[in-house]
Amino acid sequence: MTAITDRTLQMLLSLVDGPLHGYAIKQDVEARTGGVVRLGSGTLYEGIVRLVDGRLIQEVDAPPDEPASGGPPRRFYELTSEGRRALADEVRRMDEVVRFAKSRRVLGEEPAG
Amino acid sequence: MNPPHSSRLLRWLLRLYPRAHRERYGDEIRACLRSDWKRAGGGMGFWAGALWDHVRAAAAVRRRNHRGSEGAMRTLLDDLRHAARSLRRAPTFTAFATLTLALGIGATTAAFSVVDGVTLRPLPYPEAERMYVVGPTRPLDKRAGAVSTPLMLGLQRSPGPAEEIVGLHRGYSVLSGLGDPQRAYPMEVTEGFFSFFGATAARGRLFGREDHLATAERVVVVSHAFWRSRLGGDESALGRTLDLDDVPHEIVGVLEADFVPPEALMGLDGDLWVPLDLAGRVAADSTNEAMVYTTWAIVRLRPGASAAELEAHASRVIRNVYGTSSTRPLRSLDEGSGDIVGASAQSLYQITVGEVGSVLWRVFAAVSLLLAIACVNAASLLLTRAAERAQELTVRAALGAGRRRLVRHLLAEAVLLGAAGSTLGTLLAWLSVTTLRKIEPGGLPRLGELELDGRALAFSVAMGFAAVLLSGLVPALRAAARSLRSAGRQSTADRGEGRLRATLVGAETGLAVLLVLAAGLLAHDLARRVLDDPGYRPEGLLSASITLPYDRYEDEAADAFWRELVDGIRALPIVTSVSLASQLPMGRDRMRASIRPEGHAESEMISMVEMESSLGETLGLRVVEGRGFRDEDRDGAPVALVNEAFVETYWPGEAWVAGRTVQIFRRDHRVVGVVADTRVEPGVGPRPRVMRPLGSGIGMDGVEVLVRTTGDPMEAIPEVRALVRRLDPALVDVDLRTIASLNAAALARPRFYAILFSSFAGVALLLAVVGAYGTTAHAARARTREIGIRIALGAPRSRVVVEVLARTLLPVAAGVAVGVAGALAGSKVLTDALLMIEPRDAPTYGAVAALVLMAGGLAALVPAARASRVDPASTLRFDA
Repeated sequence: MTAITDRTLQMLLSLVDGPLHGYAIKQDVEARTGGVVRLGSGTLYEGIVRLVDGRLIQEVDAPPDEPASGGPPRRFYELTSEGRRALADEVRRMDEVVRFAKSRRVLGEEPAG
Repeated sequence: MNPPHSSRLLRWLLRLYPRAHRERYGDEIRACLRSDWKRAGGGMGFWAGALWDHVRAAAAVRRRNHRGSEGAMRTLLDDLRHAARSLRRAPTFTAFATLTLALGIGATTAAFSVVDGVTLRPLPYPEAERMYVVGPTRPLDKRAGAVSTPLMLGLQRSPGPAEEIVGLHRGYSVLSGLGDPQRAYPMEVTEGFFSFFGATAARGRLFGREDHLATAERVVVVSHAFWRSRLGGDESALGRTLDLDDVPHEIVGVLEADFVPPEALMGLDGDLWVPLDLAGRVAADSTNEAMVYTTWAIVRLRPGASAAELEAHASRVIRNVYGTSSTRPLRSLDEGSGDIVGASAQSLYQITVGEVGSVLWRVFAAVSLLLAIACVNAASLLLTRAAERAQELTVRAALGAGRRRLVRHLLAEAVLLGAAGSTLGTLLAWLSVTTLRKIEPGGLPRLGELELDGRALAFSVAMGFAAVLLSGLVPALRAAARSLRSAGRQSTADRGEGRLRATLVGAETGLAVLLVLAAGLLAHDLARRVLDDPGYRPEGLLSASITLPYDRYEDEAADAFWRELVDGIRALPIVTSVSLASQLPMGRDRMRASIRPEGHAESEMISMVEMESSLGETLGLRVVEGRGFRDEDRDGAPVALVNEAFVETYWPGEAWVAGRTVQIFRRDHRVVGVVADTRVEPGVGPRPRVMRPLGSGIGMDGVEVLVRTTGDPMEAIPEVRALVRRLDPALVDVDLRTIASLNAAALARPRFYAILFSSFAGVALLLAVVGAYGTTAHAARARTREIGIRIALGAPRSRVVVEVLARTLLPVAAGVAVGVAGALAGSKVLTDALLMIEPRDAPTYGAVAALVLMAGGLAALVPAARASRVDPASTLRFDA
């Protein structure tokens, strides 16, 4: 599997705590990144289709505690086990990158300890 | 932006996505966008961002879809791209196939636009389909004739089933005030003529009601062409005057350039238009106006009315005007056509297009044959190519390209070839139509309207498409079948393919034979006409047709004029003899006389020439019996000469006719000799003709001055013209031409058809030869190894050549046989185009069959000879 784009990574991260619907994914990503990563409605659903097609996420029933939105029925998505593994792989890879970078003091002097 | 607007925008944005995506996520995307819109507060920036977002996303979705399931559009483009690439790699094949199709498509498109422009399209007038020409009929002419002025008035007073009636009369005037005086034929038209034909003025005005009154100022409207060429094309021309028969006419208007006058009724004149005052004419000379039938009555029928109603009505009007008891006023001044017997109405379209329609359809059929040959040829080329790419296709099939994919690929090549052929063909068609308009072949009406327009283009594209289907489908299916075939069945299938190729070569040859035969017959006929004995010596002959105006030339003045002219011309160094005649003793009759041959009870209208005794020598007339005229015949007892056709018609089977008599205008003339038939158009059946010596008092009608020169008669023309001008500078009816040019003009139409069909035939033969060559070359290549082995085993090379040749010549011969049989069966279509030979002329058929066989043989010989030079060692090395 090729490297995951930032947007895809953020979308997968949004689903770590449980199923969300499309718009909630978008809100979560934008809130968590402070608006640095933005998901337009088009990109959002294109991304969802891509992740579903790639079996990284899957559609699930709405959780029972979800209040009716009044709008059109919303589809909820959760990470598949494959998705979790891919996310973990990616984060591990990033972690290695970060560790290596830190060991070379890319971010400046590290406090001892 | 407001939500209502934005919802439309939204719908539009969603359209970017494939349908499945839109249906599944559309509602959510919409809700999502709405929330975003509320948060962002709208604005152009927001929508611009959204647009970008969705365009990108939609593109991504679509891309992925294609990668998955091969979207139709994408594969089509892919196929075309692949096809273009592979065609580029084979430039010779591509050029050949494109040219082949272009020739076929170009020829059919050009022919279509002519057929369409001349016969299919309605005349360019409002409600033209309801336009009829109505007039009296006579025993010898059932067509609607021209009407007299009282008849025209009668019809206008009582229009019956006609909605509108207008009249047209071809005038006869001397135009002065623009350079030298000249003969002009101003068109005299009744009130409402221009609006009837939908004509409008480009400058100034057309005629109003008051212009048609006898008291009106004389006015003239000119054609756009006349205004441009003769009046300098500027505004100051309006208000100028032109003199017609010395009466000044003010130029009040210029017709639109695109107005096409009803040429069938007036020829190609139509430069000058003047009002026709019917009532004034009758008042001026009622007897004459009742007798002279010179005005064309053109009506527009009321919707729903029929031509038969119009005819019945016109008959009643004729009876009302002339009464039934007296037939005298019904007698036409046009000799020979007899009294009025009824009325007829013919559609203006029928009169304009006439018989040409069937000729054009024949041409169209010929070029359709050409297109069929081109398609067969392209098919055969594609087949060869596919066979040569068998290896490549097999590999592709092995790599998983399905049968459909291969067919698609080959069809894509055919589509590209068809498109290129269509484009090039359209260009060819445009060139041919432009050329056709320029050379103006004789007898083709409505040439001025001819153009290559949208209809022709649509036709061309349709032809291209048909050509692609015809030429591409069979090879594509065949190639696909082969590429998927298992090796074990290869040879059986190859035999099948060999049969297919042979069939194509045969079909191509057969079609080509049809065209070559048609061309051969026409050319043979033309050659026979050119070589036909004209009965005189046309080379070196010049004719001056001169009419002296009645008012200025009494008998003596006319005699003096002719004497001076003849003496002057005779004095020219290159002239050997000069003679006068009342009309040319060949070609169309201008004058007929009431003549009763001895032994016949009734007189008949027979062509008559009055001639000077020296004319026989000037023309080189052949006397076949008795003697020609002598000078003393002019004053002695009346004598006459007759031609061979006369003898055949009236005294058939008589060995010796000199001494018999003919009655000319009730006076007996003794026949002193028989002369050979003479004709200006060789092959056109000579008419019975009587000649008598030219007496004094000539010049009342036109006179022909026939001049024999020792060199090029063209050189004498300026000198003769100068002589005439010196004798009478005001003379307008002087027409100088060489007899050779009359001959050429008479042969223009058969020559045009012969050339046209010869060029079709040439192309057809070329295509057939290319087909035979390609097929032989392919067959020889495919059998290279076999040939190599056989030569290695000691087979003589000549035998190899013969065998390869035979493979091609057999289908060629079969094609020739089928083509000849088809031509024999359909030979009737050419009957009326051939004068000198039969449509089943055996020598022509034999020559054409031999020619095509030979061409096929030569085409096959080159690759066959090449095959025999195969080096056995090199072919056998394959097995090593």
